[in-house]
Amino acid sequence: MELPQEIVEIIVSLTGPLDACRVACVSSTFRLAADSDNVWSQFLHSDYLSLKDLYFRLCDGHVLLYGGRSGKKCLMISVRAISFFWVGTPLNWQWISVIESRFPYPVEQSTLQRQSKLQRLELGRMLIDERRAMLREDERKRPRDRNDGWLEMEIGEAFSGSGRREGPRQGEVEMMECSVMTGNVVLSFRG
Amino acid sequence: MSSKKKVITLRSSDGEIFEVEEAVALEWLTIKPLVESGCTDAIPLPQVTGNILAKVIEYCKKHIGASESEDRKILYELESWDADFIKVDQGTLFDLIRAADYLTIKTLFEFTCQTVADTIKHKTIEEVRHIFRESNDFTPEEEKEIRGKSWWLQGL
Repeated sequence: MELPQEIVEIIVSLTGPLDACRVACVSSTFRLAADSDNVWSQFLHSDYLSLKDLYFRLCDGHVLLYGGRSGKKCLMISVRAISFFWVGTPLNWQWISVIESRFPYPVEQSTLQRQSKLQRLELGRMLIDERRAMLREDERKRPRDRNDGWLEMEIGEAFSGSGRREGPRQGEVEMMECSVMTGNVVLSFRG
Repeated sequence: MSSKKKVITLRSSDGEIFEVEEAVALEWLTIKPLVESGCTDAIPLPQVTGNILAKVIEYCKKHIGASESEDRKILYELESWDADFIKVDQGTLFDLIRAADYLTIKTLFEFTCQTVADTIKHKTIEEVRHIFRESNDFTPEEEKEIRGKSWWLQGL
C-alpha cells in the first residue's frame, strides 16, 4: 500500500461499515486499517455523540443491566448455537415438541428437558443450575415484554465457579433467561 | 486581506521555486509559523515535488475565500471545478493526499481522502484489490476466518 496506515484508516472511515468489512478482506495491511478503532469509532460517532451516549444506548438496548448502574452486562446466546459437552445425549438435553408451548413453530418447538435434580451446563467456567430451565409457559413465569421486540422469561439461576454447589453464589451470574423474538430462542445470561 | 499582497517563496523537493500569496500559505498549518515569523527565504518542502506543489497551489488559490462563500452559484462552480481538478491518475491522487497531509491543508486532505473513499464504496473485494494494486496475502484459512467474522460479507 502506498499510503500510510493512518491515512488508509481515515479513508476507510469515510466509507461505511459494510465497505470497511470488505476492505478488511483485501490484504493484511488493509485489514489492520479497516479493523482499527479509529475507523469504527467514526461509524459509532455518526450515530452517537459520545462514548457516554453510547453507554446509555447500550443500557436502553438491555445490553447493560439495571440502567447501567451496576456495570453488569447481558449476554445473549442462541440456544441452538450453544455447544454443550453432552449435546446429543438425549438423557440430558433434547429438543422436544410440546403442544402447549407458546413457541410458534410446530415441529421444532424446543423445551429444555430436565432429568436430574441438579443438572449442570458447562459454559466455559460457568455452571448453570437448570432445574427450572423449562421453556414452557407456566402460571408462575409469564414472559414479559422488554419493549424492544423481545419477550423475556426467567428460566433458571446460574452461578459461576467449579464444583457442585447447592445454590447460586450471590453477586455473580444472576439469572438465566429466555427471550423470544420471531421464533428465535435465545438464552441470555445476566451478570 | 491586506491591500498589499505579501508573497511567500516555496521550493519543491526537485528545486522548483513557487510564489504564493501569504493568505494562501497561512492555510498550510505546517508552514504557518514560518510564514508568520516573516521568513523571507524560500521555504524548502522536501517531501513535495514541483508538479504536485503546482496542483496544491492551484487548488488552494481557487478555494481561498470561495469555500466560505454562501453564494450558491459560486459554490456550485467550485464543486464542478473540484470535479475537474481531481480527474487525475491514482499516483497523483495519492501524492496529493500525502502533500496535503504533510502541509496540513485540511480542505485538500478531506477532499482527496473522500475521493478515494468514494472509489472504494460498493466495490467487491477483488475490485478494491485491483484499485490499490494490492495482492491477497492471506492464507485460505485466514481469508475464510475474516469473511466468517462478518455475516454481511456472505455472498460477496
